[in-house]
Amino acid sequence: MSEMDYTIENKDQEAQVRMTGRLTFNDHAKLRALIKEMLSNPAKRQILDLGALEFVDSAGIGMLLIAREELSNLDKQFVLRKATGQVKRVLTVAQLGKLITIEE
Amino acid sequence: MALTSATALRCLGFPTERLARLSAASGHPVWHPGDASGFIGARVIYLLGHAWEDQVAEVFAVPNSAWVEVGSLDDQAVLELIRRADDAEFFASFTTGTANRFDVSGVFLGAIASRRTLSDTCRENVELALHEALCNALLHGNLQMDGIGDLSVDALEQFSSNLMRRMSDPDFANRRIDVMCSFDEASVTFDVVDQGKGFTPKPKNKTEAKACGRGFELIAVSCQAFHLLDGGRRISMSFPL
Repeated sequence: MSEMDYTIENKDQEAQVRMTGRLTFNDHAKLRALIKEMLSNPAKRQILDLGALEFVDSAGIGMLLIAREELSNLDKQFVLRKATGQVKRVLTVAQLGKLITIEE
Repeated sequence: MALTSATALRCLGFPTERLARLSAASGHPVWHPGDASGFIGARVIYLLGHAWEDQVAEVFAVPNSAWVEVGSLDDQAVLELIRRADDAEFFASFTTGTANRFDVSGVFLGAIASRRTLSDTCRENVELALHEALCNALLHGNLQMDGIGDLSVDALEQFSSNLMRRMSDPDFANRRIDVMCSFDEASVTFDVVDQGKGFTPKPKNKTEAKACGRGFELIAVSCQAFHLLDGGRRISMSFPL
């Protein structure tokens, strides 16, 4: 099992967060830290690159919604990008596209 | 003389005299790896004492097919779990504390997949549904916690704090989660049992922006059928092979 991890890179006017491993309910502390970093990042557009994320559960979906809500409160845009496999399937089942911008 | 019993016991980090006692009481012989007497039986129930997490690959390898974390259980409780293990092809019983820090569903499913043929689709579906069922058993069952409240970092912080508080209370952390797996010709069934107060899932708005409440939805799309039993303390999920 590979634990969730992430890196943040600022590019132009965007912050790109690359997430790896498995995002599950046990990552609540790490997600809190990530959301706080995104909130303090000056970029108006925050991209979460899910291309290397292997697995997400229902709690992971909930935590992504928390990120969207907190960023929206600061008038920042939150975008999910490059989800594949199990992650893409879970985003689809949860109909997350109705709540968060999802890009290929 | 070779052992021909269908089931044998072995142990790790566990007094051998206690293993002998449990062997006599359960009627299952003791199996030692490399035993010159050999072992023709189909399965081994592994009783896990201390430090077993340092040897996960060996613990979940063939011929072990049931795993019981003994923890603070007395002999009667261990014998009851051995009896439950006898009723399933694969069985695991861990404390809530272990299930919170250790990927029980991943290693259990990995052990099953190493000796039974599961299609990629079946394995992917089981992985998600079993993970969600174990999370429900752990958080909402044994720890009797609500999900993350509202969509805020403060609510997430509150959730973390509540989880830590419950996990530090042995009355909650020592509650058990049992997982059973059985096959028939066309399907595989997983049951997850907790020791909480039980619950009835509420209907929800599918696109409502809430931080929690999607677990059953993911289980429903992953399995052929699922049933909540024993007032919500047990979920039984079947998957086509």
